[in-house]
Amino acid sequence: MPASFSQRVLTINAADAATGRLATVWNDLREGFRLRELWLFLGWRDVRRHYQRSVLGPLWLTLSMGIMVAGLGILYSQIFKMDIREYLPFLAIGFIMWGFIGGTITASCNVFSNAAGSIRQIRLPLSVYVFQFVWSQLIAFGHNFVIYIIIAALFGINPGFQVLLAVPALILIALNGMFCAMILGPLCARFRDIPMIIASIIQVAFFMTPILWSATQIPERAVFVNINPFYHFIEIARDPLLGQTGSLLNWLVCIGITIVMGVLALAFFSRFRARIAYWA
Amino acid sequence: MAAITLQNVSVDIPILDVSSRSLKNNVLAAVTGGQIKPTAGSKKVTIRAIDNLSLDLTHGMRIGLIGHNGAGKSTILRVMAGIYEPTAGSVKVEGDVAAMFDIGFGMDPDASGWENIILRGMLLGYSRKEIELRSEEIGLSTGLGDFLSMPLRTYSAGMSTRLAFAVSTSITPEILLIDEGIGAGDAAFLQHAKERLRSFIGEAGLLVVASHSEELLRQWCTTGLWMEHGRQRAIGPLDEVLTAYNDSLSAPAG
Repeated sequence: MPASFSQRVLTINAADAATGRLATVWNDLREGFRLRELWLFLGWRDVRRHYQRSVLGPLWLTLSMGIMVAGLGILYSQIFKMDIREYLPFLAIGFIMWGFIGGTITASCNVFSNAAGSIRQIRLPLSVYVFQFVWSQLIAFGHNFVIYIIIAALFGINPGFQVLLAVPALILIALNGMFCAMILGPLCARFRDIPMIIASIIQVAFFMTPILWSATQIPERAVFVNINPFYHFIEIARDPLLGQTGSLLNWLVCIGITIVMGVLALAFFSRFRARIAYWA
Repeated sequence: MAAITLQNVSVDIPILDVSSRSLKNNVLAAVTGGQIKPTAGSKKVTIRAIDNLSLDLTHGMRIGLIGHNGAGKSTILRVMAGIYEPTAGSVKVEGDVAAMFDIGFGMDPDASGWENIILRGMLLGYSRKEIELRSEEIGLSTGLGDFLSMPLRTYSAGMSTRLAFAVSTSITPEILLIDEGIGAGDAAFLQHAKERLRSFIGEAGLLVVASHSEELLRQWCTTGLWMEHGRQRAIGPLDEVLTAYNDSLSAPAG
């Protein structure tokens, strides 16, 4: 008998109050986490399947990002008249982090609508799809991260121990990705035009966020940069990788946003979790 | 012991068309007090698929769901499987559940037969280790031979059904839910796989089948549950219920 995920006793009560629903979500998350073997496996497949019939496989991710970074790095270092040894690593990390953050938000819209097939065929904790999604995004990010290592070697960047701060930064970003999927996933399953809206917002946000340009280039407009949440998330990951720490403000904002997003995601997910099977 | 208890269960299924799936249209309709409706009939419609149904199914029962298309047979199976959470009422399911609704689900056309056995096996609840141990045996039982190392997309429809079927029936659930209506193989296929199914079904503590094939129901089931418009019209020994159902079909409408 396989260790089935259909619990021994399944009780569903439609009249459950809000607290009951919250407990159900907690259950769902715990059950989902217990099935990590499944979503780790499925997440890998998601990335691999994309490039299954190409020789390079997922390394295409790395290659296309690498070409983009090299091209833009050379061009913009000329435009901004900056030293390429300083500009290119800055741009590369910014770009990689943005690929992770922006990509995760855009893709989180489809986390349930893409899984509609299996959601309606078998009972799985819905958090399995969320975990699978975040994991596949992390794998894609891992492939892009190779570029940073190459660039660090090329330009002799030695970030020192500060680099360890990138780990909590990545955890914060991944957590927010998960919360995003818990909010946008059900919402986009219901309203099919939201993914388009999100995609355009993300595109605009890319240009508003100091990735191609640096925040130090517009010191007199610091407010404009500081009210942009993406700036803080990019900064807490980029700074450690370049050998700095990121400012206290950056970290506080990111932790604050994570807490707010977490509360929102739990509330949202517990409210609409049961409807996902009907919407997807 | 396997058991399913439904208490006053109702299920409303939202009918979402293109326009009601659009946030823009919904916002526009809301802020203009419904003045601007880009397309007619964009208000939200729900269909009551299950209407205040109470059921008490216990170990050893073999239930055949009978009824017209849209009588709620598939929906009630999904409720029992824990996929659809009811809008009202409560559901209690005791025992491991296996649902066979769409036999083709969870297969990757680009992966080989062997990989698909692992993939589907894990989706059905096997651990990686368990399914790797059993994949040999499952592969053999498909009778596909060397085809198993070819990508699934090169298979004929029948071959991929055989593969899916072999994995699905390798588990021994306490509660087995089968929906013939949504492609769990047409009746002809199920006949073909009779032998395998007989032992598979025999091991289940509780069986619920939705089917339009009378022959199939008579073979597998002992109790009939006649559904109509999401309500229970009759429940009892299969023969009696089937006769009553057939009488109602042949009776002039009205």
